[in-house]
Amino acid sequence: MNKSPEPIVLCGMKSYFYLTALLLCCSHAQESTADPFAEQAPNANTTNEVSVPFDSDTIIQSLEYIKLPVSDVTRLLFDENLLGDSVKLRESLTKLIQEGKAHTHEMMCNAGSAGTTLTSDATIEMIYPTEYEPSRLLQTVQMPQNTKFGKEWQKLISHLQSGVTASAFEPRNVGNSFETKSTTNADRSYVQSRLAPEIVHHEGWSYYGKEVDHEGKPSVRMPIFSVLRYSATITTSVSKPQLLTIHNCVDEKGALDPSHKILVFLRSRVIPTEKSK
Amino acid sequence: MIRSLIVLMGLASCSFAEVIVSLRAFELSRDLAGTLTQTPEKAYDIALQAIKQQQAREVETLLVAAHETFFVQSESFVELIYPTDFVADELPETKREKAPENPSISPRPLSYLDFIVFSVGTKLQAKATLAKHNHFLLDIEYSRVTLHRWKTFPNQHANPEFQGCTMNTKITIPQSTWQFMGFRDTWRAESPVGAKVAFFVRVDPLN
Repeated sequence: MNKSPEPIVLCGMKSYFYLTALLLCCSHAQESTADPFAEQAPNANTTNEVSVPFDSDTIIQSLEYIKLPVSDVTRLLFDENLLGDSVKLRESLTKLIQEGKAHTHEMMCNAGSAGTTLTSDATIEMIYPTEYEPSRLLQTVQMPQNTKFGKEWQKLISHLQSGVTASAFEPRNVGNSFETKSTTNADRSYVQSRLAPEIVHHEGWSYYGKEVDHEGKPSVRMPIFSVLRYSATITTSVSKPQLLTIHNCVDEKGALDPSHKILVFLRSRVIPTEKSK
Repeated sequence: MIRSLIVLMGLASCSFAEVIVSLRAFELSRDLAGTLTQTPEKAYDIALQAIKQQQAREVETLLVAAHETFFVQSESFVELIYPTDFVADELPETKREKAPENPSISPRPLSYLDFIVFSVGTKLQAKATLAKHNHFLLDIEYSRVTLHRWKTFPNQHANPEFQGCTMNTKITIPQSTWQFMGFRDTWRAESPVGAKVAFFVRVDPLN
């Protein structure tokens, strides 16, 4: 009766030993197959990169900004009822452009793989002052040794005063930017896009104060920027223009121009890859 | 087979997927605005008739296209940077070409210390959701800020005065029908006293 447990214990110890050895072998095998290039490429990028499949379609999207008088906008959209037919509306605008009544204000285009975020910028980084220090008396003045305090006194005293000094600056990107992320349906007849185009123009300066600089212009000046911005998610037919929005215009003085409007059109094209056809 | 089914499901689900939200604003007299309020269902026709008779004029036309149930935003504005903090200079002006007309109220020139950025222009944000019986639930926000004038103070400092007009509402409207949205005061300085601006919105399905 007392000998019966020993073989079981021995058998259990043996099975435990074999099980442990098996687990060690398995874990070693898993470690060796988890990252086979880890030792060969120690400097490899370990961040989560979004891999784009090689067989994804290429989507080309172009934006057109067409400027025309308000009277033509209301006539085409509401009197001729072209609100829901952007193809006929775009053809009518082509005629107006040929007649010189409308013109293309801006164009942007992006091309890239479906499902990826595309960004294109064409900007100038304009740095302008945001703070000014007031005029002050100078602490020291270097004067010629042979200076005579006579008629030249009026000219010399003007050098004792420092002009208005710009003390802080800020950069602003002036130009256009176009960010989009698009996908197509299975038969490539529609393109769904998330768009965010923006146009920033420098329209001029607004002047403050009466102190003038060496060019005779007021020293304190601030730039006037005009911004046209649109952001939306929309599905459009491939190769057909689609009216996206109407923007207000800005005149040369930096004020809203009530006589003109800007119509924004989107046109998408899809180039399928050989593998995805 | 599966791909075709997905396409069919997609096309079926996007029968009203894309919408165009339009906004028009007409400036008209106060009496005519009162007439529109009494007959809102015929307000758009009355406003168009007034335009043909040159008793009203169109002052705003905006439009946005987007996916249904998604917010769309369209902005066109000018960033005006104007001073908000100023001090008198330590020194009198030395480069003035001619003597000030009233030197007692402007003894010293000003120095501007701080500025603020203010957007002057229009903004339209909308979200249209398809409701029952070919109606759309429209969530719309329109704002228009214009520079009214520069107000000059005795110390030669000038501050801008802005004029704002906003419309922020949710409303259920039938599709492809102009809906009267009320009126606001006009923003045009050259308009007659008491003139009003009546707003109309409309939602059209695409596809």
